[in-house]
Amino acid sequence: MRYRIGTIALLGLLVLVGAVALARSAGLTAPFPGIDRVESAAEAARNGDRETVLLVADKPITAAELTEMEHWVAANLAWMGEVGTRMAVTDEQRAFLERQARLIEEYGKPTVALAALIVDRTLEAEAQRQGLWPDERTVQARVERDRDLAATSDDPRIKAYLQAFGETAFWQVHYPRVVALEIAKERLYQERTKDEPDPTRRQARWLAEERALVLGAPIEVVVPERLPASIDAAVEYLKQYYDLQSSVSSTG
Amino acid sequence: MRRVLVVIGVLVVVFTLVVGAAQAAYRQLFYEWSASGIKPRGRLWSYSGNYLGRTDWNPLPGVNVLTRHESSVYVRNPTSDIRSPGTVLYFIHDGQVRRTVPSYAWTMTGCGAIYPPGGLVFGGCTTNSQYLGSFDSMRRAQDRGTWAFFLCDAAGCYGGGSRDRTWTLW
Repeated sequence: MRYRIGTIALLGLLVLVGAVALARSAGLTAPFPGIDRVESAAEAARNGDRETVLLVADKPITAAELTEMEHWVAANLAWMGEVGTRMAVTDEQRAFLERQARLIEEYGKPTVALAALIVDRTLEAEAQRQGLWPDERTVQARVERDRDLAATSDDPRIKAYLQAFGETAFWQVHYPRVVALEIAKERLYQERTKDEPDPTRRQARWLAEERALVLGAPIEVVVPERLPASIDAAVEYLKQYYDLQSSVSSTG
Repeated sequence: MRRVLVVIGVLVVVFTLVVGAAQAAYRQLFYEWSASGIKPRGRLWSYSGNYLGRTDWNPLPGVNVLTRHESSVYVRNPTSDIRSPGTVLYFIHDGQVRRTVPSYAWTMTGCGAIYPPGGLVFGGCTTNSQYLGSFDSMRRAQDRGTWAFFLCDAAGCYGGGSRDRTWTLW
């Protein structure tokens, strides 16, 4: 009798463990949509292949960055799909998110990841060309500020990314590079739009400036077989993306 | 002539009493809120601010004209994501979104003041057109505030919102 109860308890425990593992792998227990993709993004960023696949405005894009960005696009799609049920949105907001999600799905995650990195590198090159890149002290101050912010944030994606990346490597090696680009972009935005006081026109001006820079950037493929999508498709996606953003910006 | 002056005087006294009573009867709420998250490549975003809401109500039942609700939000955006086209703030009144304010319009709204990006104020008067139809001085109601941020770039939209706060207007 005791043996039978023990066997049943053991079987029950195994079923429970299996169900939890299955649910976890299916993302059913994920506290935030796409969180598994955020963890995968961190792993790709930390341990991925550093081979340069292409150059945009003479700036390299590595295989690891392409993989990482694809995970981010997937995470964003998951978030965009669920946001209507988790947050208050109006019909217009929902329609905007759906249009953006449809656009991403139409071109595919690898194409969108490539396009996003083309934008990143173009703005980085332009900021450096104009002497807007921040110095080390400015970067370090921003790192410290954001480190304090992360410590108090309850966003599960921040915790997931930091845990998967490793806190020390993230704050000491990865984040200074990331935040330097962010500051450079902010400065480029200020520089290109500072004489426009009207916020709507300022936003429209920036989108037009960014679009012209990005679509005019020289692109050189270094390892064609490692390119996850065609350059033409990425450029076409970007044209559609800027059209969508501009329509939202002008209609409010 | 004297009779007319007396009538005018009585009207002025009544009006002053009603306005005075309405202005004296009010309730207000102040709290701080914040929201933060992560963008592609591990960049962080954050918003924080203060909410201030005040309701002055008319003591005469069924007379809505002097009753009003004003609220304002002071927004700080140290990570400078304000230019992202998807960034919005919501005012929810009585369960419905009554006001959606995209970032590029934060400086152009009714009761708000104008500040540069990084520190903005926007506000809404319940008695203005944004809230008309929902406001009823006879009925107790609740506002819910969600400060939601849709941040978008070429890699899609991400974002989040602060925790909901609910408060009784009157």
